Amino acid sequence: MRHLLGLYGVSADDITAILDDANQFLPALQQSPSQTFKTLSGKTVALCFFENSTRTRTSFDLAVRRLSAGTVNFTSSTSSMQKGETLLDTIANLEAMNLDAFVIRHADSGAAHLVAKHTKLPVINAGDGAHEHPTQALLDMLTLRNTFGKLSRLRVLIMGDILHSRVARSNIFGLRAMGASVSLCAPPTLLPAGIEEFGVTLYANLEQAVQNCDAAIVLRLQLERETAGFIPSLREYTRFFSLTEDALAKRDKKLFVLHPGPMNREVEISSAVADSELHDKASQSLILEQVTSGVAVRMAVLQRLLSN
Amino acid sequence: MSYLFQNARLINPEETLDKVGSMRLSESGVIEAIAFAPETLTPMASDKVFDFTGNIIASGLFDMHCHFREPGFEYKEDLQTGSRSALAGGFTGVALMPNTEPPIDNAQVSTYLRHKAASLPIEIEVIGAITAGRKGEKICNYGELWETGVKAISDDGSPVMNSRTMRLAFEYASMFDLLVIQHCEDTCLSAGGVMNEGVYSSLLGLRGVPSISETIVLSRDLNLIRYLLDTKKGAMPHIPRYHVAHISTKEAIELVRQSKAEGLLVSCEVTPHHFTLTDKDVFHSGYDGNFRMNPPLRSERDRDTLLQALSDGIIDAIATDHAPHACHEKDCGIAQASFGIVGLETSVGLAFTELVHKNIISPYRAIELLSTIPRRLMKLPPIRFQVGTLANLSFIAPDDEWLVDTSQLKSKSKNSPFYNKHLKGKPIGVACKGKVWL
Repeated sequence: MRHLLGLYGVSADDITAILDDANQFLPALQQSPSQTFKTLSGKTVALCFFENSTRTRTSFDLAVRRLSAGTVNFTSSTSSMQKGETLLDTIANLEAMNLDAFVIRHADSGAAHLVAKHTKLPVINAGDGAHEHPTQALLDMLTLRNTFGKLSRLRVLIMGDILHSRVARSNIFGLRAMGASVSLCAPPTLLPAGIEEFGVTLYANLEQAVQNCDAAIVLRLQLERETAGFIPSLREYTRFFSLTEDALAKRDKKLFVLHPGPMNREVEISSAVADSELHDKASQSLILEQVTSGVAVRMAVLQRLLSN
Repeated sequence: MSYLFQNARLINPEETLDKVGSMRLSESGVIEAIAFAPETLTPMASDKVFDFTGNIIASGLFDMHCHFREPGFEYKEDLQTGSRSALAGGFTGVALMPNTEPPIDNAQVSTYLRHKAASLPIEIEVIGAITAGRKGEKICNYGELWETGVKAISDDGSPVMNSRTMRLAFEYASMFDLLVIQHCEDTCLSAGGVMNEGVYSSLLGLRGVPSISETIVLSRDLNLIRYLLDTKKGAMPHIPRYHVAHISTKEAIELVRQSKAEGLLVSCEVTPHHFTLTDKDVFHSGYDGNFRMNPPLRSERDRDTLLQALSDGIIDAIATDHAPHACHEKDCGIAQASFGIVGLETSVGLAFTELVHKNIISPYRAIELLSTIPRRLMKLPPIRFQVGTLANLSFIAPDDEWLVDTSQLKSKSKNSPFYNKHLKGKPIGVACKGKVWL
């Protein structure tokens, strides 16, 4: 594995290896002060965020530091991209500064692939358009594996704006590779064309969808989807697609709930579900576990791509 | 007291029933007894007996395309007068189009109408708008409308011209299996048009509405549905159900014929005025505003195709597009007149005069077109001729001859091109919602 551009076509063995590595880091991250590793000492990783991100950038930044490497941060708002420099020129310039890897976040699908074609350095896709966000799916899978013990035959529901979601795509590819079954729940206007070819089960009715899953990944509904006409209103979306305690009323087992963040409370998820804890009966939120898993997974990916 | 109808022709296509027989209804409109010939029902002391020899007792007629103008234009019609007009025309139920003020594009207005309609003598279905404000831009909250009982949506009078909006509407409506009713008209082609474009519009010097304005929108919609079935079938919980309002042209009929053969869930309705009149009648009317409607009265060629399609089953329903307007909006010359005519009280008469008595269709097929299929399209419960059930019936005297006197119409408005027309076939009563009207 030279780059991590997506989970499409990545084998169960590779995913398992990353998740296993990540689990080696987890206990160290939970100590205070958390332990650092010398693995990537002296190396420098460029965090190139051409699209706004707080959580993913912070997570990568921490992961790099915990491996004793350094970061340079390159964000579009402070960069020469605004002066008209092309993405490839920017990358070539950074590469000339003798760096060791690129982490790329970009609003265009395919941006990480483009960079990978033009650099000798490893490229990690930190989210490209509506295409993939592989480290997010890996952290979701680590969280699920550590909760359920395994991913094989786990039934995972992904709900919300599948059409525009890179998180959904990476999770569908990754979870299916690991032998989990994936179902989707969304209005037809927020599902991509040819979705039946993705090997997923489809539900338009939330109550039915939650009847047939062990865990649910709730996606953020970008508020501009209403303006663009994909849904008539947030109010109606919330009425039919919000994960609430009422929607879970007919389940007899607890539902484990993930969300990639940032949440729109009381839009795609109710606060009661988002904040549910171990002792709650209807659901248990894994949202904070996801964040911790995120650092561990990114350390595992960086180590894998940079240490040889 | 009870009502005994003897020797009637009982027609209920829902049960493939077409037999001579007798029926007793209680005063509160419950079917108490049915007997098919040669059996009869013996009159009881409490019976008011009607010899219905030659008359039809049909499953209740339903007009899936009406404008009762409430809220907003109560000077033209309101729920009360519209219902009286429906009863007089032999209808036990109607569906109301959303071009009111405010329009029926939200659950509040549809709930308000349903609430008001509960006390009316006929059944009222409310059709929701496809887009907010019927502006053709943004789809409505179909889920909220559906929760208030809405089963069909339409921007009637204003076609959805934006293809992307229409695509989203089909996809989103599939969640609730709503019937999507389109008023097919390319408004760029039809702008300013008064009557069908052709030799008669040219003779009269009136701007024409080309027949392709209908077919362009219809073929676009059919292509959108085909595309969605090809690429987004998995994402849509139901196959889109599409209904062409007031179909008027030969080419549109051909498109519906093809799409039905392909297996698309497409249906269409025709109005009595489109199967009765043509642009030649506009020419002879002397610029009468009562001959202005949308779509316009088409050519003889189009009318012939409509008649053929009525007989061969391509047309699914007869609907009136009952569109009341005040005198000052119609008695102003055709160039200034508002679009549309009242139709509830002449629909049965025209269907029998122009279709049944001219051997285009059978009485059984007429009832299918006026009752069974429109009810099915609107997902209404099937009507059964079953002892113990509340009757939903229309009584028709197919051979009664009468002259249309628009001053006697129960509708608040009198805008009909059929004044003084001689008709054969008359609605003579209904039974619905626990009452018998004779």
